[in-house]
Amino acid sequence: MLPFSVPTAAHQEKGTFHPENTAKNTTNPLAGCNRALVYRALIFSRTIPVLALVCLLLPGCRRETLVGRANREGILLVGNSAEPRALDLQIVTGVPENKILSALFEGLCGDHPSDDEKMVPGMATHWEHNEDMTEWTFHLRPEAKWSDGAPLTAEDFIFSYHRMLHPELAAAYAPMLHSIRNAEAYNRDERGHILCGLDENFPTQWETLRKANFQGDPSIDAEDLANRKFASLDQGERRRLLAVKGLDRLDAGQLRAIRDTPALFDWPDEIPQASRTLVIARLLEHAEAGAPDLFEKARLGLDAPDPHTLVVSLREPVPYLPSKSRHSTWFPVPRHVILKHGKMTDRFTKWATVGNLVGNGPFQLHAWRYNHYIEVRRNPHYWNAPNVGLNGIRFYPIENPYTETRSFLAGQLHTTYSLPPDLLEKTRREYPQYLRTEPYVGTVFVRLNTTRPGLDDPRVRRALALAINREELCKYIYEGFTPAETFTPQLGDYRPPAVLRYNLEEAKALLAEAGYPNGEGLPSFALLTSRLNAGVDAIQATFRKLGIRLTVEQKDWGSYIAAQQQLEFDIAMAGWIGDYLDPTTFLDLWTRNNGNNNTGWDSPEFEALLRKAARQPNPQARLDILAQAEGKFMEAMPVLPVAWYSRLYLHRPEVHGWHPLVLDNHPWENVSLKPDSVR
Amino acid sequence: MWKEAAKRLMQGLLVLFVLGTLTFFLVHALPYGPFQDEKAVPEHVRERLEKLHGYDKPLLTQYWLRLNNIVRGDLGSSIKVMEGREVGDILMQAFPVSLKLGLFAMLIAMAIGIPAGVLAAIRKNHLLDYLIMAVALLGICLPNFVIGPLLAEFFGRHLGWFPASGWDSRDPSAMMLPALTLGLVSAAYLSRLTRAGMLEVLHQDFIRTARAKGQKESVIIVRHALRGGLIPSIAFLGPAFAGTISGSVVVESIFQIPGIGRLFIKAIETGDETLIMGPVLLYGSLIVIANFLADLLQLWFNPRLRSRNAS
Repeated sequence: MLPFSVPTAAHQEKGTFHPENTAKNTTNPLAGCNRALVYRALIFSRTIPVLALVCLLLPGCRRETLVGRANREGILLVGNSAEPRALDLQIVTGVPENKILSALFEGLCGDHPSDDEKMVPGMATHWEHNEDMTEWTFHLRPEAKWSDGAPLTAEDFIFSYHRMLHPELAAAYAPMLHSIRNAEAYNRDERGHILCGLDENFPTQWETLRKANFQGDPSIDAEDLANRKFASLDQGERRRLLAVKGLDRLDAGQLRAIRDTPALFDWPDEIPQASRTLVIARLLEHAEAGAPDLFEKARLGLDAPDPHTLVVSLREPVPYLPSKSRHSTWFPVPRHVILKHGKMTDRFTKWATVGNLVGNGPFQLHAWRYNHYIEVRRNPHYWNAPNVGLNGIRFYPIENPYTETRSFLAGQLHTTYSLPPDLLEKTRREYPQYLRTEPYVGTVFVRLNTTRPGLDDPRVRRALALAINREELCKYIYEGFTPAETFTPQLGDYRPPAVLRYNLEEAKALLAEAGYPNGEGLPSFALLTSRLNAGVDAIQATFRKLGIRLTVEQKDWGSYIAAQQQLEFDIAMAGWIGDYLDPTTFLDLWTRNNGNNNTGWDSPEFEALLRKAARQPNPQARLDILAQAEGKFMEAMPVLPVAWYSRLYLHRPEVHGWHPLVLDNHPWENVSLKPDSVR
Repeated sequence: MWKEAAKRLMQGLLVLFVLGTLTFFLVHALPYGPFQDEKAVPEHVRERLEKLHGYDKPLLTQYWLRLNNIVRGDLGSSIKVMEGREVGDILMQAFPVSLKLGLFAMLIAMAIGIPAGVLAAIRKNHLLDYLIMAVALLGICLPNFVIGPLLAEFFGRHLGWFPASGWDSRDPSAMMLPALTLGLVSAAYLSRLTRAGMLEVLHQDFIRTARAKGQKESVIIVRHALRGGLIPSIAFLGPAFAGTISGSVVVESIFQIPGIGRLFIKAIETGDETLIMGPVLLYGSLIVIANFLADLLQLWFNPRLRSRNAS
């Protein structure tokens, strides 16, 4: 390989030296000069770069691939898509962070290496629940330790959930813990609820009391008051401001004003005067004390009768709690380290950095080279340390999937994050030994704004759903994906009715029935997307078959998300990946107050079924009710499911202990490298 | 002269002030903000975050506070992309990478472009000239998102000489392919500029005089012609260097390089105001300083310019 550059250069020298050629050229300023010397000068000036190139090439030749070296060292090289925002597991929300965190931390229950439905012991050796599944007892390993050797106890878990739910921390994923009793009230800082509603001796029951304006009324316009001092407002303005904020958000001065002038605040008639005074008095007492943490008063459903027992009480039966507890939001964080570097609720301390981060997982943080890689190494204090197969894992934040694929094929990665779908064909042909296509709990769908004229008619929406040829889409565009039969993908014993099918004639008939034969009379719609791809074209073509013309509106990612959240779109390309293995992670989206609904659709019947399911302790009966709810949702069809996700990626055969999993949470402690097993 | 320099410096500061102000208000006018996420962020969480980062204050107050902090040298912490990390720290890690890559790319550009241009000038209207100019044209026309993957495929995957992607500050071979990708475009421009500059100089009287005096041709080229012939190229190097450093976004993505470009794009995508402001001011200062130095050099070298300014 080395001679490559040398003879080429020499050849050029020879080729250019043709005196009879140049001699005829009268315009050449060099004509008639001592050409040999000129060329010598030029050769010299060109030799330097050539030499420099050669010098650079020398060490480059026959280099050992990164994978080759990593195989010797027992280090797994993982393509991990993006640089983590942070490694404080209670602040981050992304999948790339989650992959790293699951190597550094471990929850109560662990992931089974090959079966999504099965739970293995994690920090807890065993667990049991009461009859209606509202109280769970986890028995922790007595030998459990943090990676710095400190013992890990049930108090650490309570501290972790306290921190996660603390309103000051503002953890975006805190709602994952809201099924713990009183957790939601505490997390949302519902002071009235905690100080008065949870007190059994309070003269008025919370059921009545809650009708008072605790949360504030955002429908009242108070823009003009935003930057003015409370003392400078007149009576009417004060009333307005207090109503906008609500009792829970008032400061001491404002509460004092209500105490002194009760007319400033409107109460529902059923709340007696004595209770009103008492509510204000308690809130004022709390505010005057500097609004201390309400954790104790909120009496969350968390208890540690002894250092190795954790009792979690829930507000409703959660038969899948062990499965849910595998999510990183349920992992413990090290109290002794967090408090060493700052307050419990500080978001910006250095506790989660190299040298400081202490975890309880099979690995510990070794190096974090910004935008380059994060490396974790064996944690000697892990309870199952002798059975951990790898010496370390290196996570590379390669965002560009083409770069990632190239890196993999050049021997720089053991496993990739994703294969670009347009490379699937070629990979299948040339590198079948590396290709993996595995189901993933997620759905590609088209979101409809049901407040738009035309799309507000369920018949139109059903007609659109009937017109989508999912088989064909999955064959040619969403390659490797499964045609969606309903919104929620197949999960364990959950069997919702398979309602989606393709029937163009029926779709046309339905559209005509709704009063839009051949799409006539429908306004023109825009199809919102963040990325132009074949899927967009296909949806456009599908609607065209019904006579509906779509214009495509492409927005950058942030604007695309914002437009949906503000219902400023007609039709949008969308997707959803489940957080845990239960249909509620898909169905809860479509409740009225869910921030991810973004369709303008809601249904009291649908929500009643979800609530009914939440109270049902029998797992199968519960899933049946959820299936009914899904049926209701699919009848209304505020979204058009297209396909169930698959994960396409490349994976080297020497990686052992890595099996297809629908949540894609491969327990790192079970993975090992066996380079000798592959030729 | 010193008065002139001080004036230019003040102009530079004014440019930075306007740049920062525009950036601040444009970022705040984005239809999305740093406190939204792919999945909806609960309302009470968003309120907390806004308060934490001072977004609950009126915009002008926020502007005033930011301006004060920046003047005191505090760029603040990233709001979203690397939440809580000092923007100054992040830039300190990313900028040397971009700088090294840019410098290496310029070295490659000069090592290829200047000799090629000189050779083309000497062999004007001959096969070699046409060949070099054709390749140069190709280099100018081919975007780096074509050259980059091709180089990575060939040298990275098939030959395995250099890593196909990644960065290692201890291993310069990782720098080779991205620097080559970046440098080739500049090399192409340089070769054309050098050729034109050399041709002009070679036609001038003093070259003929040198020849008439029987000077060796190699000495004429290297000693007499090259100096004048390189002037257009040298003038090009400054802006090209700044462009290489600030315009390496695509190359950083293709080769997975931890430089400023990718960071900057991500900050814009998420509306991370502090992390947008940092690189904007850094790039802005670089260009202001480069122009300032160029102005000074020109004043220094060209007495005519000096006297004209004085009058």
